[in-house]
Amino acid sequence: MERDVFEIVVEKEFIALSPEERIELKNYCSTEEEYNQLKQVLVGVNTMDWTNPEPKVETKEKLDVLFAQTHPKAGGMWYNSALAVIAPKDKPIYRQPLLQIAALALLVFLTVPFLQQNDTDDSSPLVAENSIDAGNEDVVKNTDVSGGIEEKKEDDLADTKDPQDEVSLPAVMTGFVASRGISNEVPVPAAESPTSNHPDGVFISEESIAYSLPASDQPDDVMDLLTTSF
Amino acid sequence: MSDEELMIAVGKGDKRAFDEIYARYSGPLLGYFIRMLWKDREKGEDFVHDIFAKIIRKPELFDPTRKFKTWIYSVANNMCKNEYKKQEVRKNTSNGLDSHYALSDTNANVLGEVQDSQFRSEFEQSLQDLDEKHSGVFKLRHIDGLSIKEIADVLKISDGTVKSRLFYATKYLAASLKDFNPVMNR
Repeated sequence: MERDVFEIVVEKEFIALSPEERIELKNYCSTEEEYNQLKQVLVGVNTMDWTNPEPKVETKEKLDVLFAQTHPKAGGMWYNSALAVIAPKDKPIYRQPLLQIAALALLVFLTVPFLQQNDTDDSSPLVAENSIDAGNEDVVKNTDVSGGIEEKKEDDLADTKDPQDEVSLPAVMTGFVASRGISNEVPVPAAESPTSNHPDGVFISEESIAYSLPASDQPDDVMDLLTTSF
Repeated sequence: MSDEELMIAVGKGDKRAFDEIYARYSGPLLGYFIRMLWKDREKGEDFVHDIFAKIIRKPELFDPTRKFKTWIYSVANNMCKNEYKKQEVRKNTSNGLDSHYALSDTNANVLGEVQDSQFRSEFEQSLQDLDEKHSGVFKLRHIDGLSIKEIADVLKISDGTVKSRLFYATKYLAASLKDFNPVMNR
C-alpha cells in the first residue's frame, strides 16, 4: 500500500519532517500549528474504536434461504459426483480425466491392430512354410473336386450321345448282341430319353428292347383284344 | 482463496464461497452503511441484506477483472446515494420535520459505547456537517481503510480529485476540532 501524507503526519513530529515531506505537505499545512491540528484529527480518528458491528443472524438466515432458492441443488444423482470427478468444469478440457482416458483408449485402439500385424509378419520361416503347405493342400483339394465335377459332366454327355456314333462296341456288348442274334443292321431303338425309347411313345423298361413289327406278325390274342373292344 | 475467486465460485452456486464472502464483508459493510445512513442500524441491516441479495441473484454483475473490494464498496456507495435522493424527496414532501432527528437517540446509544466519547461526538458531528462527497472520501480513507487509488475506483473519480477532497475534509475537521487535543489527553 502506498505511503501517503496522512501516514507521515501520524508518524512524525513537525520538526522531524524532511524537506521533501514538507514540500509534499505544503498543500495541507504550512505552519507547525496547522500541522499539529491535522495530526490531532488523524490520530484521533485512528485511535477511535471503529470495530464493525456484526449483522443480525436473521439477515444471514434470509440470505441462506434466498441462496437455496436461487441455486437449487442438482438432485444428488450418482452421476453428478462421478461427472464432477472425471469432467470437472473448472479445469480446461485438455486436463479433464474423461478426455485423457478417451485419448488413451483411442491410441490403444489404433495401435493394437498394427502390433498384431507386425507379429504375423515377424513369425518363423517354419510357420511360414507350414502355412504355405496348408495353402497348397487346399488348392489340390479344390482341383480334385473340380476334376470330379468334370468327369461327371462327361458321363452325362455320354448318355446323350447319338447311338449312330457308337460304331465299335465293347467286346462284352458284342458277345451279348451276337447271342441274341441281333445284327448291327437291326434298327436300334431311338431311345434318346430314358423314359420312353419306343418310337410310338409307349413306355417300356430299359432292359427290354422294343422293335417295331408289321401288323401281320402281331400275335392273335392282340387281335382278339381289339375285337372284343369293338 | 481471493475475493475474486470466491465470487466466481458464488456465480457457480457454491454456498461455502458465499458464506466466506459474507464473513469477510458483512461486518465492514454494515459499519459503512451505519456511518453513511445517519447511524440507522436497522437501515444498515436492510442494506447489507440487499447488497448480498444482489450478489446471490446477479453474481455476473461483478467484473472479475476488477477488485472485489472496490466493486462492492462502489455498489454500497451507489445504494447510499440512492437513499440520499429518496430522503431528499421525502424531506421536500414532508411537513417540515426532519426524519433524521428521530435517529438522535440511536446516535446517543452508539456514542455511549465509545471510549473517547466527547471527541468522537464532536468528530462525528463535524463529519455530518461536511457535505457528502467530502465526508464520504474521508470515511473511506480513514475508517474503511481504502487507499486513494481504491477510493478513486469506488467513486469513479480521479486520484487527484480524491486527494483534493481529502485535503478539504481534513482541513475542515482539523478546524472544527481544534479545541480538542486527543494526543495530549492520552
